[in-house]
Amino acid sequence: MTGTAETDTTPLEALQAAIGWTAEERVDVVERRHLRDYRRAIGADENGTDVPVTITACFLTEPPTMPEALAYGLGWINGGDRFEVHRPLELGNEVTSQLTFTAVEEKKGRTGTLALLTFVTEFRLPDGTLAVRHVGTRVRR
Amino acid sequence: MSAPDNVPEEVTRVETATLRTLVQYAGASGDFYEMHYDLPFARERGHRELAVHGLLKTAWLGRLVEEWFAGRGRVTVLDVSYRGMDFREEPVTCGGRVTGRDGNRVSIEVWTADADGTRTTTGTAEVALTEGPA
Repeated sequence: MTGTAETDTTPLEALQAAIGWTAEERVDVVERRHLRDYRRAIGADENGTDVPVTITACFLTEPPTMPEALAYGLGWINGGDRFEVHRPLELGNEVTSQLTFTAVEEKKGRTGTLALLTFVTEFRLPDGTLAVRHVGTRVRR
Repeated sequence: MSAPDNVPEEVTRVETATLRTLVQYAGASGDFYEMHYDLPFARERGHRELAVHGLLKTAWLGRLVEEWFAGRGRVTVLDVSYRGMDFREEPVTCGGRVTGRDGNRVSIEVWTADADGTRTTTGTAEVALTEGPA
């Protein structure tokens, strides 16, 4: 038997149908040792206790595990990142987050066709306060 | 002048990622995509060298702005697009320039540039000043 609806679906159509996909919810804590490792990795004073604006990059499901994305192209490229800080994080904060796939756009690049995928992640404190909203543009080609 | 008193209108800093840097960042961030530390893997995908994580470049820019405005304000938005790749052991100039001010909110253009001066990351940041308008 050939030509089932499933096999007729293009990778782009599969991505479009996957809009709304979410990764597993996760809980992370801004821990002292992790903060030190992250600050050192980005060239900051590792003994500092200020939490860098980009720390939630460590709490993203990266690269995303969405099967429809992995079925498109051969690899990932990072297209862009946006961090909106609504409430600055501090050492010891616990944040709950869940990465959500919100949009896809196919474009012709210099080396062929690629797909731009948008993922949104909101990081919330235990009382529900929105601390950070992250928007990531990830490219499959 | 849009920047607060005693805060420069523009700053730049040069960063260079070594293999150690890339591995440290992978470990701290949890992003273990092989393109950043496995040279054969990177070359199979057409890259001449190990690529610097885009989010490491963004972290450099975030640190640049945070240290620039240290004690004067906090970063509320950092928004970047990656225009080109940067590679291991190659200098990356990180820059920021104040572009406007609305009350206690400062708008900033941020970028990274490779050794040729080509901008490999472009974007914006916003800082909320923790003091009244100068």
